[in-house]
Amino acid sequence: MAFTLMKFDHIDAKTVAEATSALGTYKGKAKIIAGGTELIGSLRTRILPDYPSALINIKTIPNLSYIKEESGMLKIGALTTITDIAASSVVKAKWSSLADAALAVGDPQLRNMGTIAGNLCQDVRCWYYTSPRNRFLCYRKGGPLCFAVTGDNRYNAILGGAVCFAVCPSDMAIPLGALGATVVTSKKSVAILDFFKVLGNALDSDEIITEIQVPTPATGTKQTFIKNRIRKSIDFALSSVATAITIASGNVTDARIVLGGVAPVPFRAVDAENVIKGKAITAALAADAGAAAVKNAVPLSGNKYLVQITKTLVKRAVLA
Amino acid sequence: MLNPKQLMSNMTGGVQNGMGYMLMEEMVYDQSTGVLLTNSALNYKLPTALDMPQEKFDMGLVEPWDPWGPFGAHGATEGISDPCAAVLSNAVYNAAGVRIKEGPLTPNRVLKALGKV
Repeated sequence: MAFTLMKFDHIDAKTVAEATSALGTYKGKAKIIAGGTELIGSLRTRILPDYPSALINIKTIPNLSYIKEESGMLKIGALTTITDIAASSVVKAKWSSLADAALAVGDPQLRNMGTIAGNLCQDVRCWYYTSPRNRFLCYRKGGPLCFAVTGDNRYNAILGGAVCFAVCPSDMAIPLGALGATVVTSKKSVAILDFFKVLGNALDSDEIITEIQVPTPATGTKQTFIKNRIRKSIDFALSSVATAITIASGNVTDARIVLGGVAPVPFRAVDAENVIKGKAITAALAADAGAAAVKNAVPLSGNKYLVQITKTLVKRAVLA
Repeated sequence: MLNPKQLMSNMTGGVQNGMGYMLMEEMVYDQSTGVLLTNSALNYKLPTALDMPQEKFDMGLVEPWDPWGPFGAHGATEGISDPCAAVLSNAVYNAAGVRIKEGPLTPNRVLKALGKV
């Protein structure tokens, strides 16, 4: 179901300051557009109660699309497309899980248009939230309740769900979380896992992402990204796992395991990390880590299967 | 056979059709409002080229004489989609020993049949 677009102002920003000041002028009634892969769809299906009065195009800001290794970290400009990240030899060399995740996003056309910052800022895909013409005024939109709790919740959260059970759809956020990345905005720097909130993100209404910084993993770090989905292309994760496990003389010295697709935010499975820390990885230990990752899962009526899938994915990722 | 190559590619398409029907496609309605939830190409999942099996299909072509068709001709490949659901259900039975008689065979249905959820 798609409808025609309604009237809105269109502003080509030339600098980051111009974009943020335009956001301030419209007082929350403006939206940022870069790749437009998600925004245009949501405007055409009119899923939100408020239609924006302006779109601020940031593709016109020069020098925001780059991938470079600088002072021991990877720096990715906000406007870098997902295709560029997937194909970058710099990324593939030391941050391979990031390149793997980039290849798992959408399909080639979406990756060509979509940007890294857009991937992190994309809206949730809960069936009730995205129903055309704002059919369900759910809690996330300012309504009284979450319809997924009593409705069909096969793709909703099993971990960390509170008032809203929609899951974080971003694939890039998962390895970025495992690698300990930082999001640099026009106002501040924030750790990637703090950037995500249950009902949105840490951006103010007049703030945009400018850069993503990823530290170089320590020597001996093994990275993986596994995404489970029903369709092998153009599909969001049922469950995904990214790991960054550092091994020295046979034992795990440091581990970060982040789960995607099963919680409203990228979910750091600290319990699973603690299981493997200080030990040598075996099949039995990996299975224990999987069980620990979903120890606190509270599935809804129709998504208990996600617990089983996540448990197995963590096991596979630790063993990989 | 007028065009065997096209016939075989059409048969492959028929398999894709039947596979999507039994593995992914589902009309899901909200139980309390009756609103269709799988209302887009994203939510109503059709298989892509990547979802097809890697192995080449082994196809046997037989040329029958159809007394009702013009000059004995007979249309082909539409019927290919029909057995796919049963074939896939049988495959699950063969692999896991459980009979699932309702599609699509989503992870949820299979795990439920196996008693894992």
